[in-house]
Order: sequence, then C-alpha cells, then structure tokens
Amino acid sequence: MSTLEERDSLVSRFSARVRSVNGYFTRITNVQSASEYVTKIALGRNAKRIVVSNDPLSMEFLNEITRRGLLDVSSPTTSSREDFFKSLKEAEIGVSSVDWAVAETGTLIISTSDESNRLVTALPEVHVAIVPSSKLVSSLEEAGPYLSEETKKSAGPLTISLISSSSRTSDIGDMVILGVHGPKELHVLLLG
Amino acid sequence: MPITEMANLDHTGTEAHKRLLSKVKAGLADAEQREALYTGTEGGTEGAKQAYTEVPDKDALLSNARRIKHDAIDHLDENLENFIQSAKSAGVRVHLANDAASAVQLVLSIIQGAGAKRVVKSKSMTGEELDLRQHIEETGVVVVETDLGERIIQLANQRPAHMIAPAIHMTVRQVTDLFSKHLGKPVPPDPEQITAIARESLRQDFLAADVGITGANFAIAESGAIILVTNEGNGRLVTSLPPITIAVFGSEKIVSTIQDALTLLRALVLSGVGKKITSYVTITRGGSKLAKTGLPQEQHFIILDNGRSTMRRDSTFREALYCLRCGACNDICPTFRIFGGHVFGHIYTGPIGVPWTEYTSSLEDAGEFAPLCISCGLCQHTCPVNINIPLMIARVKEKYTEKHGQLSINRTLSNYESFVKFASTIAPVSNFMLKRRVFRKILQKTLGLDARRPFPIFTRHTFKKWFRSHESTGSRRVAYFVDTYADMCEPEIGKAVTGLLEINDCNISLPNQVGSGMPAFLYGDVKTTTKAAKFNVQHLAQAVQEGCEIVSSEPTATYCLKELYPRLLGSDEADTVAAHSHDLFEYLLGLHNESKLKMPDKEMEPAAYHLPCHTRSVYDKSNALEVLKLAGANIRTVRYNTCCGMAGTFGFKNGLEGYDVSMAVGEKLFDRIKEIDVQLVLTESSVCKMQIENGTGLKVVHPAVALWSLYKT
Repeated sequence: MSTLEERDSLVSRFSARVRSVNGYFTRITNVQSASEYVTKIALGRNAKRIVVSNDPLSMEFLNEITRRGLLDVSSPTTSSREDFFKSLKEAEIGVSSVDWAVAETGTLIISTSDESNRLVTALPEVHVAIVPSSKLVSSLEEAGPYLSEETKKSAGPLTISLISSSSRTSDIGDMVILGVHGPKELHVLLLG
Repeated sequence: MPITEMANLDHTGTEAHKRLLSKVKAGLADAEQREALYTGTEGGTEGAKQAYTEVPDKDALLSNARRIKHDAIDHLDENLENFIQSAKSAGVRVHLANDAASAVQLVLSIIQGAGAKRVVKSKSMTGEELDLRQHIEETGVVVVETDLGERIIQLANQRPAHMIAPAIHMTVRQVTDLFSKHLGKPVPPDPEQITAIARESLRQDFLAADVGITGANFAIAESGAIILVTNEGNGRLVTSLPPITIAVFGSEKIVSTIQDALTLLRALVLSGVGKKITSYVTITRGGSKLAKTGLPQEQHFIILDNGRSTMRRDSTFREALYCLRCGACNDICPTFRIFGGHVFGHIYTGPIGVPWTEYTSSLEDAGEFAPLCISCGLCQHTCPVNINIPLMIARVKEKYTEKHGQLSINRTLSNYESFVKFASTIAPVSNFMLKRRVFRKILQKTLGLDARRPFPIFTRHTFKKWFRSHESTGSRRVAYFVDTYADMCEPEIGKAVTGLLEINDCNISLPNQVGSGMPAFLYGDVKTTTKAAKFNVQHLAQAVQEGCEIVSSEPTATYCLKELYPRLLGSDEADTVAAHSHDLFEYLLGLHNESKLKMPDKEMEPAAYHLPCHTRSVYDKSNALEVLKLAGANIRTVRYNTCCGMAGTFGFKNGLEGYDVSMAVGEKLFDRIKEIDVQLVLTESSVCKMQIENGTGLKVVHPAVALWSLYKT
C-alpha cells in the first residue's frame, strides 16, 4: 500500500475536491464521532427523521445513534418495508457507507441491489456518507477494475451509483442551483 | 444527377428555404433570446476550454476516446449480441426496434400491458428522436419530464434548443412566466425559488409514477448494464421508484467494457459541461428490489436502429455514430450561437445535428437548416472524438441541392475563384465598377450580393506575374501555395512571404496550382472542391518529391492542404502533402528552433490579433503570434471563441441570406477589438480581414506583411 505521505496527499486531494463542489468534509476517528456529527447537524436544522442504509458500517452507526435516543432513526433491517418507505419519503437526512471513494473526482461509489439503500442517498435533503479511509483510491481509472469486477461477479440485478456532489442544475438562466431533486447537501466523513 | 443538370433556382429558392429565412429573420430580431444563447454557449465553450487546461493527458484521452468509438462501431454486431445476452441473463427484457414506429409501439405496449397511468421521463435525445413523450400522451397517459430544462421545454410545448441544455435559449423572466402560468399563481423571478417549487411538484410525480423512461449514455457489452449521466439526479429517481423502467437507446451507445465507458465518460463530461465528472453517474442492470414492495423491478431495454445501420454503411457518415452527445459543437458553432437549435437543428441540434437529422429523419429536414453552416470547421476542432462534421454537412448540402436545386447566389459564389480571376484580369474596371453604389445595387438585385459589403481590390499585377521575373537563390527549398487572395487581390502578401523566406535562406518555387476550392465546398459543390484538391495535391506532391516543404499564407489554404484534402481524397499522396505543408509561421518557427531565424531590425506598433478559425482548426494556436512575439512585438490577442462571421463568401450574400447573419456573428468580436485601443489589427485570413475592416473600420494587415515591413532591405 502507499506510504504515509502519499496517504496524506490523497486525503488532502479528496477533501479539497469535495469542498470545491460545495460538499462538507470532516475527518473522524470512530463511528461514535459520526453519530455525534449527524446528531449535531440534525439538531442544527431541526431535523426529526434519519434513514440509514443496511451495510455493516452504517449498521454500526445506527446502533450508536439509536443509543442516543434523540432522533427517529430507521433502516431497512430495523423497520418493516412499508414503514421504512414512509420514513424514506419524510426523512431529512440519509446516512450510508460507501464501497470505494475516489480522491481526484470526489466520487463516492456505492453498489446496491435493494432500492431502499439507493434511496437513502437520493431522497433526503442531506446525505451523510461514512468513508473508511482504506477505501480511498486516487482516480476513477484506479476504481475501474472494481467496477468491472462488481458488474461481472454475478449475473443478477445491480446498481452502482457514482456520487460526486449534491444534486444540481443550471437550467434556469445558466445559474447553478443545488438540490433540484436529490440531496442539497453532501457530507463526507472520512473514517480513520 | 450530375451537378451540371441540377435545377437552377432563382434567388427566392424553395419553400423550405423561405421557411428558413423567416426563422433567421425572427432569430436575428429576438435580442432577449440571443443574449440567453450567447451566455449559455459562451459559458459552455469557455468552461470546456478551462477544464481541459487541467487535463495533462488531454491528447491521449481524446485519441483513446476516438479509438474506443471506432472499435465499438466496427464491432457493433458482436457487441450488440454480447450486450443482449448479458442483460437478459440479469433479468432485463431486451427488445430491438428497427425504426421509430416500432420503438414507440414497444413502449406503448409495455405501458398499456401494465395498465400504467403515469410516466416519469429523464432527458434523452433518443426519446426526442421518437417523439416519445407526445406519442405516450396521445394515449391518455400522463408523462412528466423530470430534467428541469426538459420540464421547462415540456411546459412551453417546444423542442430542446440544445443537445444537453434544452432551455438554453430562455431567460429567467420567460421561465418565471411559464411556471406562473402552469401553477396558476405568480412565481418569484428567482431561479432558486423556481427550482424549489419544481422539486416539490416533481417529487410527487416520481413517487406516483408507474413507469420510468430513460435513455442511456453508454451500454456495456460485457455486463449488460447501461450508464446514465446526470447532474440533477433525476435519472436516479426515474430508475429507482417506478415498478417498471424502460431505457430506449441507439445501438451506437454500446461499448465493450466498463473501462471503455469510463474513458468516454471523462471526455463527454469535460467537453459537455467542463467538469471532471457530473454529480451522478449510474450504472444499472436488472431488477433491483423495489423499496415500496420488495418485489423485483421490471426493466426493459429497447435498442433502436432507425437509420443507424445505414449511417454505419456510409464511409463518410459512419463516424457520426461516434457522437457522445456532449453538445460542444452546438456551443462553438457561430450561427448556432445566434439562432439556437430551433433554427439550426431539427430534433438533433447544431452541426452534428445535420448528419443525424438526415439519417434519423430525412434529407429534406437536414437540408433545410444545413445552409446555416458556414464551414468554419470549429465543430470538428472542438469535437472530443474529432468527427469530420464539416465534410458531412457539405455532403448533405450536395445531396440536397442535387435533389432540390441550387440557389443562384450559391452557384455564383461557388465560382468565386473564377470571378476573382476575371475581376483581376479587367482590374481597374472591376474595382471602379464595384465601388459604384448603383452597380452594387444592381448586383444585389440580380445576383444577391449585399451592397453593404465592400469587395476586395483586384489587381492585374498579380503576385504570380511578379514572381515570374523574380529569382530565388537560397538553399532551403520551399514551394509556395499562394491561393487566390495573395495572388490577385493583395500581392504584397505574396511578396512579404517571399521576402521573409528568402531572408532566411529559402529558395522559393511556385508549383502549378489552382485556388483551394473551398468556396465551392461551402455551398456543397464537393465535386469542384475535389477537382481542385486533386490538381493541387498532384503538383504539390511532385514538389515534395523534389525536396520542397510547402508553405502557405492563407489559413483556408493550409486547412485544405493539411485537413480537408486528405479527407476528400483519402490518398497517400494527399497525406504526404499534408505532412509537408506548413503555414508560413510554423515554417519560420521551425527555423527559429534551429536558431536560424533572422530577427527584424525595427519595432512594430502595438496591434490587436484575431485568430482565424482555419488556423485554430489546424494548429489550435497561432504560429504567427509566436513569431511576432519572438520579434518583440506588443500584441493583444482578441479573446473570441468562435468565427468572425464572414466565413469565406457567406458574408457577401444579401441580407438574411448572409450579410445580416455574418455581421450578427461578428458583433461581439468587433466590440472587443474596439475595446483594445489600437489602430492596427493583424490576422492571417483574407476573409477575416474583410469582415473586421467592414465591422470596425480599422486597418487589418496580414502578419507576414507587418513583419516584413520591420526588416531593412
């Protein structure tokens, strides 16, 4: 793997890129700080409801934040499908982990086969992504083999989302507006 | 039908031509739309230009992208088969549609079969090609466009005015009025608030939709997945919420591997929106579990041919299938910038829209707006996969005029080179006559030449005559390709070129040659251009064989020698000539690199410089500017991203046919030149010179003439 210096440069390129497209970037050391972070932004914007995708890291996060008991948090594994879909429509914040992240383009790569998990990153106004630093690569080309493998490993249903900033448009008067359909805010928490 | 038997139309032309002129008239008069178009297209061109400055491997990326598309189209049958197989084994229902009608029928039967009532759509040019929304709406099903720009177009009941920015032609005020009318209550004239209102209402549409329809930016043979590229994220909601999704796309979208798609994606996004990547890229295949029910989503792929196979069989038009739909050729095109895609386009808009319209719609639809192409060549220059759009447009013009006749003015100007020769032979008389207002009024009435456009001064004392009694004695052998203007209108250019080369130890010869043939190309008379190409290539190849390098001083001539002739002739001889051809200043820079360039003795007065399109097409920079700067000249380059507007002989034509459009295209250039406080303007092109002199009243000089005047001889 890379030396410490290379790793630092990778992280600083990643954070610079995320911030350059109106994203928020924070380094955290454990999942507990992720739950502190999300609680803070939730209280700050008076958000009531949080949806969490069902990957292992997000589940750890779910346990942490549920313990605090301040917010209404749900995930596909903790609620019925019907209830979770209702939460998805109402939630102000969605929290997920990622499979890989790309420093150069600030891209989060998330593979899903249940739309509940994809919608966690698509419906709420705020998307918080927890990125394990071991999953950070330099360029899209470097992530290419993973994408190739992921699409070939099984013949079944598959969706890979490459998310590189919040939802944006410039269709009216050539002015950039954030949050036209999906998240207005993208928060990246780099773990470790 | 041979061109000689072609119908000869008078100046009024066909019904289609009259329609075009009335659209041109309305477009020129619509100041609000012109401003919106300028902001959008200039932003597009400038954004891509800036973005590429941060791409160190630009050349490798783009040649790789072209190679990938080349291979994909070569192996289309095989890729198609693999794609279908992989998609099917993932559970996707794959359908093939030979033409638009069968594609529409497939979509309608899926919708009806499911008893669907509400459809959400994301923006797709293939959808536009099929009039898909309109066909579905006719069956009583509600269709909502979810891309904000496309939604605006739907509410306005229009077509997209641009390949990737459908509402590029509309102002904030117009969009405000549109939403106010649609909602039945006033909406604030603020893009942010309008977007928020649209978000709320579209969210309900997404949640209520029975079917989601998309196109595809790429399809991957090895995995049977499609790729959707969006900034808004509407594509994600269209593909995740409805229980049924349908992707309709052309067979040319299939590439072999995801790595190939990632390379094309990079080029598409850089050229399309001037970014490293869009907000969202979605790779999807098969029926993921639906959030609401947990049932697998029903996914359909409809792969459309609709003329693509025919396009693929034509050696010239085949590479139109390489198009990534980035829209960069729309942004840079000088006339598109004035009129937008409703005038310069049918369904597919802008330069690449001409060949695409011919094959997916009809020659008639393509030929109607093709005359607005003024052959500046910038579309090919800016195209990330270097599609030879100018040649395709010239072919469309050719086919169209063979079928429907040629306008008398176009026929006259196709023969411009012969006209110059004649005017030069009778020179004092022609100059005298062409300055008389009465005579110009007559020419305007009879031939359609605009009386407001000054003609160049012709001379009997041509450069070639002067050169006959001139002796060249240097040791470097150079063959000079003079072209028409430096020979018969301004022989001082030819003499300056001779002086500059000889002072640098060159031995100049003038091989047998005719004019470049470009004036005929502009009006689709490709046969005449090809004839000139053959003649010139044959004689210049001879000169190369004798050890000469070829030098030209007219940008259009260099463009012909290096770009157009090899494409037209496809011969080794043409390639050899291209490889040994240089514009004068490229040749001089070569000498400088060997430390053998003699510097001038005097200093030049401050000047502004304008880069001609054909120089930009060949070199992507100005060699003249580099040489003049080496000589210590104080020169300000005029920042301008498109053509000056005269475009060969286009600016000679009367009113809406040429002159008015030409001056509208040049307007911002003239302003910027006047802002630079200088008395002298430099540019290599005789055509740009006429246009800038006419538009600014300033003196315009060929850099060779300016440089040569600095030597003590």
